[in-house]
Amino acid sequence: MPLRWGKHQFPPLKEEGYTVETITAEFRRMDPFVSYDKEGYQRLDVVRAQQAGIPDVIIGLAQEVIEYQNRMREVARARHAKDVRAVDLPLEGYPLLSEFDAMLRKYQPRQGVEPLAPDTHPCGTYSHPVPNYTPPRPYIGWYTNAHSTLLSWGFHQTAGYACGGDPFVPCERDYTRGRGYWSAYGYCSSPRFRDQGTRDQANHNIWVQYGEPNPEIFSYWWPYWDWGWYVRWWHRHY
Amino acid sequence: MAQRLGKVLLGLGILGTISLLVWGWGNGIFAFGDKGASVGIGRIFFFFFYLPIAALISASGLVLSFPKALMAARYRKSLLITSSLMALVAVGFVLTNVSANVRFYGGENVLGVFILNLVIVAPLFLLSGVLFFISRYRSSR
Repeated sequence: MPLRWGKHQFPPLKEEGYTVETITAEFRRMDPFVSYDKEGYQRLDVVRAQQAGIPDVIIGLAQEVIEYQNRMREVARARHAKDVRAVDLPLEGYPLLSEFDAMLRKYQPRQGVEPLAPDTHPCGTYSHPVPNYTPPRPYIGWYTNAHSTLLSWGFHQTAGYACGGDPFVPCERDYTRGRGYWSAYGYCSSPRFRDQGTRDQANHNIWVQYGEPNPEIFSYWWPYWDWGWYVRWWHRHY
Repeated sequence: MAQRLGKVLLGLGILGTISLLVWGWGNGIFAFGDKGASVGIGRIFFFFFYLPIAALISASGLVLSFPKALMAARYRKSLLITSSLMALVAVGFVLTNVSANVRFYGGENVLGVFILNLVIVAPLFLLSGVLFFISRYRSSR
């Protein structure tokens, strides 16, 4: 049963004992449940988030964040604004987000960088993989020519070996768009991650999986020496 | 001395090849119906890197152990063809990946990508060179 943030009354986040740090950690747990439609608007899979044990108040806050971000996108598009700072929407009607915003205003980030464990890396390691889940693969929609649509979105046909085929022949229905990735361990620069597009044989339906280590490992520089083997491992597990 | 070293290399090469084949079998390298990034990357490492290293050690061992037998004229043509094909595949692999870097990733660290690919195909190049050497050895003496 999806939560309706307008109808639910949640206790203040502070009363529940939440801090900026704990909310941030909960948000990262919600990454797998947020998907994008073909126009870039976000959707939250509330049922799966609840099943994963994420508290209702955090889901409520996340829904408000997503609703706010979607409104920002809409307004920015209507105003042809390229810089989000030009879009200043009021927080009225978003009680949890207003409280979170107040917490952020008072928040003093800890000075200096927290020392990370030596077995971590912004791009992921065996002990701290990034991401540590299989990214969702939402259905994007029906198009008259899915192949051309994917190319127009910046995808290219994936190198043959990266989908288990002939290394000299690109994959037929598997597409790659290189990207960077933010994780709890820092930023892994583009194109060491990718969005994976797939289409059906009839060349109409498109699915996109957002954010996974880029398996085209021989077409970009590795972030560390055994990255190639790590990417193979990651794709075997997730 | 050279023959003894050759036999050691040959033993190591054969042992390595057998271990690799067993590992490859267990990891779906030969299940060519299996698709996916993991198995695809595994196959590249297997056929372009690990197997050529094992084959290179075996071939070097063979040359040192049985030089006369290997110089028989009947092997020369097939060795030359195998050597040329290997070199072609290695060059093709490097060119394909470097051109993909330029086309799809804006030539980001293209020199690094070129060196990375050279390292990956180095065993294949070296194996090709050894086979070429064997195929030309007799005629040059």
